[in-house]
Amino acid sequence: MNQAIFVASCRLIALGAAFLCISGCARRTDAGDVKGKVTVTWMVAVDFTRDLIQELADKFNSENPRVHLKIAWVPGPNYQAKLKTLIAAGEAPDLFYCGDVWVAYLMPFLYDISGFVQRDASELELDDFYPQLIEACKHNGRFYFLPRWFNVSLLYYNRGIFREAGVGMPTADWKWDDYLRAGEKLTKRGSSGKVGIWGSTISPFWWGEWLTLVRQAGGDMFNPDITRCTLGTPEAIQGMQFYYDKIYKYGISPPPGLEPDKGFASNKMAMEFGGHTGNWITYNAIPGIDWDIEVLPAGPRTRCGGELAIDALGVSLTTRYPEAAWEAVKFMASKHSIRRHAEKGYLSVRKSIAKEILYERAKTQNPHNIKAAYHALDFAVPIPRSPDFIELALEIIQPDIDDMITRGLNPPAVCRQVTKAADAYLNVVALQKRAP
Amino acid sequence: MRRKEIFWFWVMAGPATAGFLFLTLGPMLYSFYLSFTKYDVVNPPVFVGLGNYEYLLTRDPSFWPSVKVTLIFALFSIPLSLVLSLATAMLLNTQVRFRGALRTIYFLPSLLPATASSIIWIFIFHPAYGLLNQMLEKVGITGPPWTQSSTWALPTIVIMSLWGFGGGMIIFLAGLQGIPRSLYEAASLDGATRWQQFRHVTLTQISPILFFNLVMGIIGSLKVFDQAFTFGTTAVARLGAPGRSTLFYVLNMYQKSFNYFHMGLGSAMAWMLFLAILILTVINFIAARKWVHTE
Repeated sequence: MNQAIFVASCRLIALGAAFLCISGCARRTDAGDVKGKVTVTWMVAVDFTRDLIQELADKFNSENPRVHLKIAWVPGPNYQAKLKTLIAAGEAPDLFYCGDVWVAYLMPFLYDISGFVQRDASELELDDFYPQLIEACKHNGRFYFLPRWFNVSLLYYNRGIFREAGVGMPTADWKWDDYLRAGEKLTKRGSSGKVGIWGSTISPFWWGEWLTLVRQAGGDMFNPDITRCTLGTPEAIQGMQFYYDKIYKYGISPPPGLEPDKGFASNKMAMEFGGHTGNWITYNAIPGIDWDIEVLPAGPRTRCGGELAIDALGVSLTTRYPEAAWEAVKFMASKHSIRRHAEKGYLSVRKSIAKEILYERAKTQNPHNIKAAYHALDFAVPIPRSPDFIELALEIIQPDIDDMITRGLNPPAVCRQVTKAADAYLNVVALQKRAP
Repeated sequence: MRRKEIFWFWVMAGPATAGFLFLTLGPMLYSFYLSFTKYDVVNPPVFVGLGNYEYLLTRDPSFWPSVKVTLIFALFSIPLSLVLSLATAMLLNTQVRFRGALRTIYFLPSLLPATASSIIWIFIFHPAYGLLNQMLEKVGITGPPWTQSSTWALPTIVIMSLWGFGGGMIIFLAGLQGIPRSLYEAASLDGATRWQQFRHVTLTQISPILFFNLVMGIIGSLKVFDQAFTFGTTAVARLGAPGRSTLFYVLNMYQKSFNYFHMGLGSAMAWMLFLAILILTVINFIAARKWVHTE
């Protein structure tokens, strides 16, 4: 090949590459940007709160002369993947949702908003928030996000099914035995042996329920500094056995896959252990379900151990506009925003709004026993903030618990097996941490 | 003339070459480097030598289970898919009424995105209110807990994967139409039975197509992701569940990279998969010399 042509061709390729690089590095200008305002983007998973989020964003934008809040909607199932891919690419949105289990992995990408919180403490009225929820927004004593609503483990019960069976409604002093006895009385089998009404739900494929039971029996998944798995202790095994026995001994809960369509909302489940406050809107939208809530029944050792998760908003560490992003976070935790969330049926994170709306509404609408939700905060444990916890729980422990619950394997043997596997993994983690 | 030709060659091929170099080869080489590092996206990569490979092969609790799931899937889905697509192609190669419409109908599902069809299948397979178990119940059979059981989840995905056999079927159909009728006539005159005609004429003539579908099937089944991801997020709310029964290799790689930010481990897994596919393809090509008929 003629050298001059080869050189010209190489130049052409280099020019194309340079064009690609320049266009890739160019600052993005999106259709949603507003002239004269700083635009911050909040990535939100599409669900039935879309109208509420958009309404609040519109109000924020109309009231704020300097900041424009743009909502980037993402289909629900793709949310985590999209967020993490953007973070990995260094293109994280300015604001994103925090508070579920993945927050352990998001912590390094979150802006420390403690300075803003302290500066605007009086405007925020920090004392108005429930203290347990404010604590759940901190990591090592520093603020990383502010809450919008929360979920706490509760005992949900179908008043209609209880009434029909002549079983006394759950009370705040219920223990496991009360729950079991009620479950047995409420489970109704037809002549063919097929269950028409189940005593209680069971949550498979996730640690939420079994870990609560393990904790209530006096055990836990790990020791406090997560260097050793403690599922092999007699207390933990007792909790796991109870979880298993709900299906295989007492028959009050359906094996995975045999639960009625829509679970507790089907009107064929007398109780739901744990549940989710995000489902209240659904339960109230289905006619014919008369339901209420109570704190979880106490285990042999304690009533504590349920899950506390907050739906919170945090600021990306890589945002170019932390101050503007903070304005949006502050607005979403404001009384107006929390009031709108409470009006939609979410649990208020502010005491004043809970009294103003939720306690008033509870006089005429389910759940009537709203105080149980706030009482349950005293017994709940925030979601762990350690990546080691999440990875161990999801990758090593939960798969074997799945097998236990779907194949009917022996709980003590499974507990000992997962303890061995988790400890082996923790030894590797310890070695890596000690490495230079 | 030649200079002009070379110039225009590079004008035309230049953008694609640049795209390949900078958007494919570049990231590939970078991921090769990352496979020898510990990299969590937050901190700079730290060189760990062969540590990631050693960890995956000897100590990682999910690596070998994910290899096993993928191999079992491949072992069942590839032969079933090949048999189904060849059998359908042969039926549609006969003089049946509405042949054109039938070919279109059988081919259409393969045009659907795997994610969309997976969601439909997950509803069909739901143990309590899925269409399949409801139909089985009508004839007195209690269906298994398909999607909710560690035992049945993988067979469910194998069955789901057969839905897209139309792509292979069309290629087989094209091959079948290329077989000269004279070969069948000659075989018939020699007294060959239908089975012997199929064995010695049809299979021999379409062996290059069978080989192509086999190689593509192996590569595709080792890279299964869409169906497993949709299954995990829709049917059981945890990737790889129930148990580790649907933890496919690429899903495991994705989890390590994008859920837990172990980019080094994820990259090492990607390169091991690349190597495995390369070796299997080379073995296939060597073995093909013995059974693929070429003119």
